Amino acid sequence: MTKDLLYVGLTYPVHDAWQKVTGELVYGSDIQLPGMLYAKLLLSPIPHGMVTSIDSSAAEALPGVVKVFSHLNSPADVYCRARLTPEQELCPRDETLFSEHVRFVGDRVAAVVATSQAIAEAAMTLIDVEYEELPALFTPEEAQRRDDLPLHPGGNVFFEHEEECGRSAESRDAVVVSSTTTTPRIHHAALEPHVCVVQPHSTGGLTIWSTSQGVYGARTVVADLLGLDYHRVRVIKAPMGGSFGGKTEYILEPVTAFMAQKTRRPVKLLLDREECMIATMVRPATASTIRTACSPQGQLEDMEVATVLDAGAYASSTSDYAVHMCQKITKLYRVPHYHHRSRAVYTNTPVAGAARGWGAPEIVTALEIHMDNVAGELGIDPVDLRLMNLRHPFEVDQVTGMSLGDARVRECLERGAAAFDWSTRRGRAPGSGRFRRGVGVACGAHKNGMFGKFAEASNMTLKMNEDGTFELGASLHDPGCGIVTVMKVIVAEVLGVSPDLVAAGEADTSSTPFDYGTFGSRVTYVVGACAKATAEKLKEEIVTAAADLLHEPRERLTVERGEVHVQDDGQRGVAFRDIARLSQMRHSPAITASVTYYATSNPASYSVQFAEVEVDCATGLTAVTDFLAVGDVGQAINRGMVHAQFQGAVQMGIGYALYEHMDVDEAGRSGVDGFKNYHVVNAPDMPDIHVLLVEHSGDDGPFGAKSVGEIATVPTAAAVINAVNHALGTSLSDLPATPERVLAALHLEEVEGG
Amino acid sequence: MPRAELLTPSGLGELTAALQRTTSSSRLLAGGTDLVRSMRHDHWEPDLLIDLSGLRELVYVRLEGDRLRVGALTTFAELQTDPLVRRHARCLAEAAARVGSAQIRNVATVGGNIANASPCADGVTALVALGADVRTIDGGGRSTVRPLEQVLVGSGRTSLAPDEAITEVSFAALGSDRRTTFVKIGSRATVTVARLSMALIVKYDGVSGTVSEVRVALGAVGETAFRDARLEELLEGRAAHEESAHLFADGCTDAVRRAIPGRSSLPYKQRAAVGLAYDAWNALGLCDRCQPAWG
Repeated sequence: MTKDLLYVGLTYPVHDAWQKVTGELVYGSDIQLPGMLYAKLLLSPIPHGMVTSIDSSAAEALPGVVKVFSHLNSPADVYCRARLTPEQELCPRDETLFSEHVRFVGDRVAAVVATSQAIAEAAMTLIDVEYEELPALFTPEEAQRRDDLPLHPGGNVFFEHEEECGRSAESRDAVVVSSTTTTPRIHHAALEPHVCVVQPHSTGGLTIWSTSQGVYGARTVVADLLGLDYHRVRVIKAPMGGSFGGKTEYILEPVTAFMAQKTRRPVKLLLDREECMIATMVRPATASTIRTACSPQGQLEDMEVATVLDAGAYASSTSDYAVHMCQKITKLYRVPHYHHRSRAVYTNTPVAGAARGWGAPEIVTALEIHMDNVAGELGIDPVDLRLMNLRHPFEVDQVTGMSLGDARVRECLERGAAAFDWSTRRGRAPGSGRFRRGVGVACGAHKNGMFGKFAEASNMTLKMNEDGTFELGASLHDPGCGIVTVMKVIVAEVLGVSPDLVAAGEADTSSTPFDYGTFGSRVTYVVGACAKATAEKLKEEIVTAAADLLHEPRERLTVERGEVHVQDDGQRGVAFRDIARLSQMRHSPAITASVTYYATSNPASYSVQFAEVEVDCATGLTAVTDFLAVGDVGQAINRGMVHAQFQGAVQMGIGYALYEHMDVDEAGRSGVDGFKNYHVVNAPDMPDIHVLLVEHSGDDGPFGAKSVGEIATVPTAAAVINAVNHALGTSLSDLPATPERVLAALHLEEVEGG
Repeated sequence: MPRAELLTPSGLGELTAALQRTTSSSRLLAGGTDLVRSMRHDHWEPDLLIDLSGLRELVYVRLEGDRLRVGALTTFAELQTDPLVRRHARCLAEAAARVGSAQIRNVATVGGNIANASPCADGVTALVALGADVRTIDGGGRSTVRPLEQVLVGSGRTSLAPDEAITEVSFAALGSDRRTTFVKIGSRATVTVARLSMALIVKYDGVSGTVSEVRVALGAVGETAFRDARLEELLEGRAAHEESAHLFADGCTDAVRRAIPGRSSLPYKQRAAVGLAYDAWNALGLCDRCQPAWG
């Protein structure tokens, strides 16, 4: 298919690369408005308790301080930061702008707005708050045990979900394996901190610059909370320096909007790194126990899974996360009987919420570590065991009842194993000395949008200017991975013109049509398909106009490289720019097309990844020495960015496997306040990452493209852990595999924490 | 709002005058890699900040007789590549190369490393092994010298008076009969704070193949870096072979146990000390890629 494509599948810089490099791009933190105030939050230093008094007189006396806000002078209305639409389910409203009942170290207690950032920060330290401390619950185990101490009305277990399908094929000689995997609470580590700027208007409306992944959701949450009509709340998507899910939900928008509304001045709230780490959102800590029965040959017969998610202090999106964790395994493997129970539990820890992969990295890590345990128990090569059970194209996922589409996970595994020289490397002895080498493999599955749950759709308008250039009106939310460029390339491919002739921008509720936003791995598959459908409709409009100008029936016209030709008459044709110019007077004042595209499928995307590690048995330090990521992506739109997505995703996954965690201590503190003590994998520790794309384009995405950004990180951690276990002969399953845990596993000891 | 007064002396005379105005709430600013972060993070400001960056006369490495003298404002980037340091105090050059990131090494200074008194300071561990002396100047213009161990009182604590500034560190230059190295374990390979570090200096006799005059300093175990006499005695006169490496590793484990009894990090650090000992022993060329014995 690629050979017929002009622009799709080549490599392009992301749309704002030039502005980023030159510093021209105006990020949220760069925005300056006349009369703008600066806000600083006062965060709870205790994990659980009641605010008994707040004395802000000293802060308010400081010259430059405009107002101090707290629960004493703000609404007690509860809201859910994760809500996108007014009628959305699984959005418990349990959060207020400022807490009287504080539930974690980092809960919003108060905020100062002042004429400078420095004054706001100084004033914040002058607010005197007294607390009555309550016992704190730091783990889901404690929180489930202590139902006498509910963090919120209704108890600490606030959501449970169950999926069950099929009938057990468990045979008498079945080999039964059980294992439990824990995954840590981690920080998203986007380079740009969280920021929000809100300008109030004399009409009572607000303009919000939001670095979120969905401006319409921000509008819904803010407007409902502040009692404003939706058309008075304009939300503009500000350029974003990374999100990875951490900016999906509306954390700063409500409180900043409230303060701007009350002070009648523009307000900027910019967090520092420590605040981003403890007071925004984290990937939830999870524990999953998997029991499988399989035939002695390795055929899965039965699977029973129980997952507990640590939601932290507020529900956010963890309920939905709990549902999704039950909907990944059957995308990957044929399981005759599958039973998965999940529950979400409140604890006095940082708030968990959206994170790249939405539950898939968590459950796939548990699954794929378990599959290696099964392979070990049976004495079967891990690749062979997986090939025996992996899904084939166009099978139906019995949990969702939907086709998996052109599912090429088997091909990813087979081609990857060959490229990685798996058999030879797996066959090598890890060594018995201080440095031991091992290789590991893991498969992962994810989705393509929200079809099956929502009316999954997108809406766009494309117009042709009089000079033959194009402008796409769409609510795009680019977290930095190149969505805008992808849309331009798709439109350009349909019209046969250079992507440089297509303009596209990001979302603005006042001028771009409704779209949910960037999440759920829906953008390329659904929004991209909408761009393609819109461009195709516009192309029809162009042909209609050309037919009018050329006095030829439409059937005789073909479109190629920015011109409309009369078939079998090489002399006669008209260029797009002439069509646009001439038709304005003669045919139609504007050539435009609007399309609402409805998704009708939700196939799976897959990635299979191979890691080689070297473990220092003396220090417990693990080095990842080689890595191959194979992706079932359908069709790469912007090839270089697809590779880059995999490389970045592997970097995150290695950190998840080996380094990153935010365990709280007995005082509820995370012990991290910056990248000095929260370690991601840095460049010297990164292996070369090889990327291999499997492209079959048999699904409904634009030119067959499927999702990349989330699936790319789903199997990484498991591949690394499996390689460590291969190197050491251990069965580590608590992430991250810190040096302490590696040495303890070698010496068969229990170790607390990371 | 309180704002710190900033003084920018451009010579020792001006520095002395500035030091006369200090209180216990004043601070000296060298590379600023710890101080500035602390001020920002903990929202505090000193009453007086003396910026030392104008004291270019305190940036030097000189060999005077048998002593190597290092100006307090010499950066780790400079120490890392300085030919005299590499020849006469290789453990210090190696420690300098492992401090933070390239950006940090470009501004962080050896004097600041001492004054900040972090138990994990890489430079300090090497200087303790080298038996360094610290020269200071005070507000009265008095210049005094005392051993580094007397300057380091505890974690984040020194015996430096508020009006006292470090001007130089010096130590006996190591001769060609010495072998020396610095090794450390962090939570990742680079840009990492030491969880355990060691500087090792031995006199190596090529004829007998034995080591003597052993000096071992351990860092990131306890309040400050320290030399461990029992560990040094253990190695005295030992042959440069695998068996001694094994002995050394056991000795390091014991030294860590003695240093941080009951600490939650002890189970890990006592084991990791074995790896560190072998790393050091191998780095000195006293063994050819020796490894701990396993199971």
